[in-house]
Amino acid sequence: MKANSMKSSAGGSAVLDASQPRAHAETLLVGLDWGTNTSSVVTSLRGSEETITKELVPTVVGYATDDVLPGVLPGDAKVLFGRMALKHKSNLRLVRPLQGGVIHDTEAAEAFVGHLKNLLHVDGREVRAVIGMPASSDLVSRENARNAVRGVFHKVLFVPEPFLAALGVRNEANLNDPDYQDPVLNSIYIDIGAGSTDVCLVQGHYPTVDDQLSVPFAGDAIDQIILDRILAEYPESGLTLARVREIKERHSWVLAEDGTTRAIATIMVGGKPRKIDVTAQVGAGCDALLQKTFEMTRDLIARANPDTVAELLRNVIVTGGGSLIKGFGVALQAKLIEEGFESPQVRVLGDNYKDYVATGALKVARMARENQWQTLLG
Amino acid sequence: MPPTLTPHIAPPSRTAELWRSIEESVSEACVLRAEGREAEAIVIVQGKLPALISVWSRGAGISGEECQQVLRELFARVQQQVATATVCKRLVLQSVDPRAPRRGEASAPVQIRRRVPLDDITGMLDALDEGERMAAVFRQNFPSITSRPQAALAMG
Repeated sequence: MKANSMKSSAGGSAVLDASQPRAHAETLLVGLDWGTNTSSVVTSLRGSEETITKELVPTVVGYATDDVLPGVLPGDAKVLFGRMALKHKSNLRLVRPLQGGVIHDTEAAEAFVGHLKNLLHVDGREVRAVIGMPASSDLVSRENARNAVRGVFHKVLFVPEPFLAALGVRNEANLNDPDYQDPVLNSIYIDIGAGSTDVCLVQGHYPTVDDQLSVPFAGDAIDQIILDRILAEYPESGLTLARVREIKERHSWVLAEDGTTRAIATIMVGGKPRKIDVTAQVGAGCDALLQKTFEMTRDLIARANPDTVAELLRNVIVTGGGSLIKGFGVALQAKLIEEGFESPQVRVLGDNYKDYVATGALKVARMARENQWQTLLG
Repeated sequence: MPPTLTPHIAPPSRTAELWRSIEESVSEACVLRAEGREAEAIVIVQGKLPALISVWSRGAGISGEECQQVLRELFARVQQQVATATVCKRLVLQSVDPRAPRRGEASAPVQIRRRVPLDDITGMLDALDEGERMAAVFRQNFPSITSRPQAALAMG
């Protein structure tokens, strides 16, 4: 193993203990949803059902700028992570290690995952992580991720996020309850991330290559549409994607054509803060995503066994950051009805969507055979 | 040899040998400094070079001022060479750094190709492993196809 000293944050450094790991039972299992914008991590000891740690961390690394004065940053840290990085962003160079759900900046990714490890109470244990990957991730993105976590985790497994979310959302304890509707026995699962939108048929088995569609059109694409439209109208605003993301998270919705809800954002125009009505711009971005998601869902339904479609339509599950767009589920349901589908029911997993992938990852970590783990050699 | 004044110096063989030693020592010192090995560079610059230069200048047949000019030109030339080499080294290392994220060689998504029940987590992991192996074989055998955009492949 690589004894790799990670860059220090305010919380100190994470150094992989290359010495003999502790006994089998003290292996720390990690479920990680390493998201482009936010990461969710949950841990337990091997052989235990008890959760030790559960953390939600913005996936961002902040490097102190050269001109930052002593005493400004906590502990005069050179690197801050997550919420602390966002809090002190004016004195930091913020780097998002992932783009489109895959590693974009290896150094920042290594530093970030080292920070996560600091949060996990490792205490010298062997650490094994199951890490969610976008459904469309390829060999290269897996190799990049493997390289980034080398020296932080001892063993890893990479599993598509839709698989993990399906496992995470399922409550095995209720499977014997006749009233419990197993959400993954016959469902359409829509995951709208930052970089891609994945739509999967989950019909009691893990989606195969024929059961899923993926397009690189998701949260980041919406941001770009909104930015382009606002800049077209206010070219002197100097708006950035980061600011657009904030506006979107606060004002995004679909079905806004009734005009009752306006999106008013404060934007610097010509050096002065101005309240601007960005309803049309935000709506254009969100509606584009809605339309794309609807088309993918419609196409995937056409692939399903006709005998299963009625039940399938009652279990359309939307997750991922895109599911947080207000009214998205209702709007998608309305479009499906408009298309002629009978009684579709779209369920949005909401704010807890990150937990489902991490929880599913931990379930996989508990069940994986010894010979299935990929050992990371230094 | 110094580029501009050499024709006027015409050093004898001993002087030429000393000059080569000076050139080599200056190069070594500059490389060591570029590698951050300052202490070793100082040993050469302060310990070895003064003696060489002293002996060489006495037999070079040129004035002290000309000796200084020749040495200044030597240092400038070697420093330039080392600077260029350092940039080349940095570029090469960046291009082969195994830690840098690889781009522009998109391959087929790693997906499973057979039905595995949701309860069978280990079966799913086996199927993913098979998918990863197949993607690796596919990338090896059909690099031109796998360099197509990921979305096109994902969409089948």
